[in-house]
Amino acid sequence: MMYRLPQREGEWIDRTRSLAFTFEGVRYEGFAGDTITSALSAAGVMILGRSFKYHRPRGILSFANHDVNAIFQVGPVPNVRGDVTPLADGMEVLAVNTVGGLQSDRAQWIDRLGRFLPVGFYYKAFNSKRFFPRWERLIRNLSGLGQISVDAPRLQTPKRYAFCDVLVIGGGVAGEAAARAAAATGAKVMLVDESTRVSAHSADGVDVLTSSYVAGVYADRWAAVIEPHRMTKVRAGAIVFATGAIEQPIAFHNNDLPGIVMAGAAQRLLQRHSIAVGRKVLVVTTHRAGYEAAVALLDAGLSIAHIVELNSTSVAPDLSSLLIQRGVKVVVGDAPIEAERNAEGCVAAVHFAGERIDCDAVLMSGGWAAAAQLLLQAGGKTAFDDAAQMHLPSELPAGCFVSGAINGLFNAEAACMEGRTAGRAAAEFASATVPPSGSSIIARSSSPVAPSPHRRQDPRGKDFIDFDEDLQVKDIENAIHEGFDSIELLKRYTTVGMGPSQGKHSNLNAARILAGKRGLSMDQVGLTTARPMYHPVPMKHLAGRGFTPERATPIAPRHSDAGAVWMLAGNWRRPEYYMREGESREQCIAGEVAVVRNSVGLIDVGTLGKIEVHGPDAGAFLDRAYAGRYSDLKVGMTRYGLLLDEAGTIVDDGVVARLHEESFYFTTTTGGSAGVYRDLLRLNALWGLNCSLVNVTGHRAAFNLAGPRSRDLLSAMTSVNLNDGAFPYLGVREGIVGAANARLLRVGFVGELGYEIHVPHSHAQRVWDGLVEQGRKFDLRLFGVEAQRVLRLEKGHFIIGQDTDGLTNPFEAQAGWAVRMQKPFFIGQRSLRLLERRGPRQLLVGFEIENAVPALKECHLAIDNGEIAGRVTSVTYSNTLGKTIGLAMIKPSLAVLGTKLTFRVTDGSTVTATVCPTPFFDHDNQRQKFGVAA
Amino acid sequence: MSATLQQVVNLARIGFKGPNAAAWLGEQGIPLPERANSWCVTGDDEQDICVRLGASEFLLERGDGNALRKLQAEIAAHIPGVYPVLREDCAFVIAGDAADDVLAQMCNVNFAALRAEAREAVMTLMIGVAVTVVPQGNAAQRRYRLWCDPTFGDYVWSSLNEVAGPYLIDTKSPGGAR
Amino acid sequence: MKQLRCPLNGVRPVSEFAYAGEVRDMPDPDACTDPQWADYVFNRSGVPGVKREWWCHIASGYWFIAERDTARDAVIDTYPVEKLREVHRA
Repeated sequence: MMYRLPQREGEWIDRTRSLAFTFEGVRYEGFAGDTITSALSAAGVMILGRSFKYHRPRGILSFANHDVNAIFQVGPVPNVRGDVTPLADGMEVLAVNTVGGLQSDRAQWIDRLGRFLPVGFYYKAFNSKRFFPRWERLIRNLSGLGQISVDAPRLQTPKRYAFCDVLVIGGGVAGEAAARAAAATGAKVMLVDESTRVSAHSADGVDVLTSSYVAGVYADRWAAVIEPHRMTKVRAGAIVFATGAIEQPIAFHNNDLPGIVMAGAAQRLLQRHSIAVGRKVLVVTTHRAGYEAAVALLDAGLSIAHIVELNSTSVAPDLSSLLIQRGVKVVVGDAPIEAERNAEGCVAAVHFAGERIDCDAVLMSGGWAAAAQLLLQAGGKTAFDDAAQMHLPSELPAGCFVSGAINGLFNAEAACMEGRTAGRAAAEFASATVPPSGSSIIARSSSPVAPSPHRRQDPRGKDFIDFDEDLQVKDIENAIHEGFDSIELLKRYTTVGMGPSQGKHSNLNAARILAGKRGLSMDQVGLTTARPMYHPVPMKHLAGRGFTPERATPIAPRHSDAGAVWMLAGNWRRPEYYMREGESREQCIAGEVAVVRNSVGLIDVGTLGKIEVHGPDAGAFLDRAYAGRYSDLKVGMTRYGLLLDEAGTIVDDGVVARLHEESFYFTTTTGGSAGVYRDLLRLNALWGLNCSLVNVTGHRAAFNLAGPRSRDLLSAMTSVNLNDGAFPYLGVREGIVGAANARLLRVGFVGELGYEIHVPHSHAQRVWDGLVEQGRKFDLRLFGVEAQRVLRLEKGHFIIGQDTDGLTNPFEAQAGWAVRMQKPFFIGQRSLRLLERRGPRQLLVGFEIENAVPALKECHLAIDNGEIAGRVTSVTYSNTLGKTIGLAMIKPSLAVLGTKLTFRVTDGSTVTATVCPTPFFDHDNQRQKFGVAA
Repeated sequence: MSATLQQVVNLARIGFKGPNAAAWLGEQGIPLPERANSWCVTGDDEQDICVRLGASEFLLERGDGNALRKLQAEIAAHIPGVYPVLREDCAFVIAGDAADDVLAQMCNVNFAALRAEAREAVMTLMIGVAVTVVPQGNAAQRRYRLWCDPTFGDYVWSSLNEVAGPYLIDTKSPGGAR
Repeated sequence: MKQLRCPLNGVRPVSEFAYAGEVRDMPDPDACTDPQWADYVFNRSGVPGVKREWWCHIASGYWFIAERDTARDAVIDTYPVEKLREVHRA
């Protein structure tokens, strides 16, 4: 049983500060500086959890956050990692993966069924769909780590960016030396370590992040650092990987009993928390590290029962003879067969071929696996080194350096020297204006290790290879026998290395078994890739604080005051319609439409893209970019603009106004503004014409004042002469509206006399307020996007992206009139020549139905002789006309005036419509050109 | 660690663009930054500045609007190769020793590493919005001027306040850039 | 996240940039055949290797050319569009 020793020098705990907590409802005390696992161990709690598959009692294994044996539920928080989570006063800790408590886990019967749960059990058992749901429910209940509280409060977790010259990952001897050496050159250094403390500190010029880990390393030395309360994305000039190595377990029957720990775990418990692993300690080792642990424990006054080395000749004869002198019995060339448990279920003895050794703690040291996961993510490569019996770095990406145990160096002095060299090289790389193309691997002198010892297979199994996934030696061997004999297949079939620790203590042994069985070298076998995250990361860290860009026109507060019901248009919010007391949505929209037809309405169209092009070649530029011709447009006039791509497909439209000989002002669709501006910039860069583009989308607000009374209303607010003669339909004028410099465009999108009023953002609210105020005597109403859609549909105008799609060309959209094929060149022209010859494959036509048909919606199909013949793109009931009107994209043979179209609606019934000419309303456009007498 | 946030509303602003913009502004007696993406002082202190955006675009901001109105009147006569740019930006000032921390939570540019004397102007994306950032002051007293499209103004301002919240000692709106 | 050196704005993360495909010479629209034109409009080469590409720094609206080795996922060079035109004239 583990216990706390009297105060020792260098311990990490503060014995003056006691912290009380509960585990499984029982009250315990630990000290400040304890982790959950160390506090439980000091209190003699040996069983910390139940294993994933067999529900076997488990205790400390690595005490390095490398296994899942010490994962807890703390209050509402699941998956708390006890090895590294600091103990806090009042913590309520529960074990996970139990049914009815840790001690009397009702699921422990599964352990005795082990032989009925062979490798690949899921694949073999679940091929019947009928029984699968029952299996799934059973397994869901038996596995899983902790409970998620759906009532947990949402915490805004900050995320931040950080920058450094040299990032050192790992604060051991090598990492610390690297950090100090790099900082000494004046470099900005960041050191990240999982522990709560490291010896490097800010006084060395090093920015130290403790209790933190690098979860992943990405392109161009970009590292995700997980701190206790946030994620930091670090861009480093160079990275030193001093990530160390991970001690590996030894396989024997019952090697998972509580009390059997890694040698390194025993040392960490002792040095940091002054905890003795037991009163009678057995060391089983293949590596010098086992002897070193024995010496450390002996120095602390613990009793070492035995050291058993599995190699036939000792790897550490010096330490071996030292220990023999100090009265420790050392056996070389024997291997453990079975661990025996006591009444509490903890280790009581270990059987070897020759003898049975009593003990209450076993230290395993089965060699090391380089912690190269992050280096591999960064693009590094490793190769198996026979002398070190490890995969060691063989290729490093530019700006990446290694030092210490990851490079096979277990000698502190050597690691320190190598660390200094790596730190200086990293700083030099980071400061170079033209960084050297690569970084070399510093020569290493690895600690000798004998090749992996033969492990005899125990027919009873329970000789665990993967403690996360409860995989035994025979599971691996059976999978190989079944033909899953490549490392990638083996991983997926057995799930070895697929637990939360991603094989940190299992991949190497599994690869060794595979290599042994197939007679291959370790490099031939290879290793699977450990992907980010290095440790599991809380979702809240990954999510972080969210930012969703939102755009609002300056009129947004006025819309809210007027009862706007909002809709999203890209990142804009726009009023869909304005809610009126006691009226339905349809009534509100119909009312807005009616007021535009009968008097005057006002809509905020500030979301339209607004671009200027200036310069001697401005007209030529537009001629090349747009399908129409603008170089011959008169100053003070506007013309429709249709933008195509190289395939001749319609991508955007708007109105182009000529303000001056060399200055044009044009609009784009709301959704297209950013993309169109960017595309036009590219064309301008490519063509090299003498003109400049300016995007004023957000800087200018825009309203459309439309309706028979719009001129009467506007004339009260502007000095611009609004008479048809002075300011005709499709004209553009600059002048004062209210107190603002405005651009006025006479447009006809909704089919009434109307003025688009474009004013600087800062004047927009006042102008809007003035229009609303003046509008009172004309019963002005604000109208939203829905009313505008109805109004434009009555005029037969298409909306790009609704009535057209990613394949529609201007001929098909009946917009050939907007294309000037005889121009020397424009984007899409060459494709249109081809398309013009080929003829349309579909045509956009108007249709009407005499009555209201609420069931007919956009995207309903046109059916002709049982075949799909097209689709509805827009449809509405027009109160103005007293019938249903719409646009449909249909095959050309049906696009003849008077043709009956059959549409199939959602419930399968059909609706008949008649192809009719557009505009549906005011066919000669008299109203928008000249207005009507009020 | 503390920060202050201000919305700038008391400064006049105008922009120019085009192949002859630099020459023409020079003729009007406006001091210009020599390098692309840098700024210079045009008045008595760091409030009145000219920012060069890329090679041939300029943003002028001043406390005294008269000088800029004069330029505006001149340009109305259509000077060849000089085009006015409507600048209705939302402008902010972030100051204090926590300013870098605030920006580091919103933008992937290493502002802290910019040397004050280099007078750089940075065009970047911050929380998904295109912004221009000008660091002012010195290493001890950092101050950032920030401009964005006015239709993103509320979003940027509320995000700044949310992120800077723990550091804020004084939020003034409206205020000046001094 | 990868970085890209914008000739105007310096080294920035790729999230600050938009991409517009390879730099490709447009065939003479008046001289080329329909198949030649269709090939230009619709076909792109996915063969790994060094590509000349259009990139835009979004915040400044600055377009430039990047030469990128798609086989090695490495950016070889970035330069202003003017240089592309010079190369074309030469």
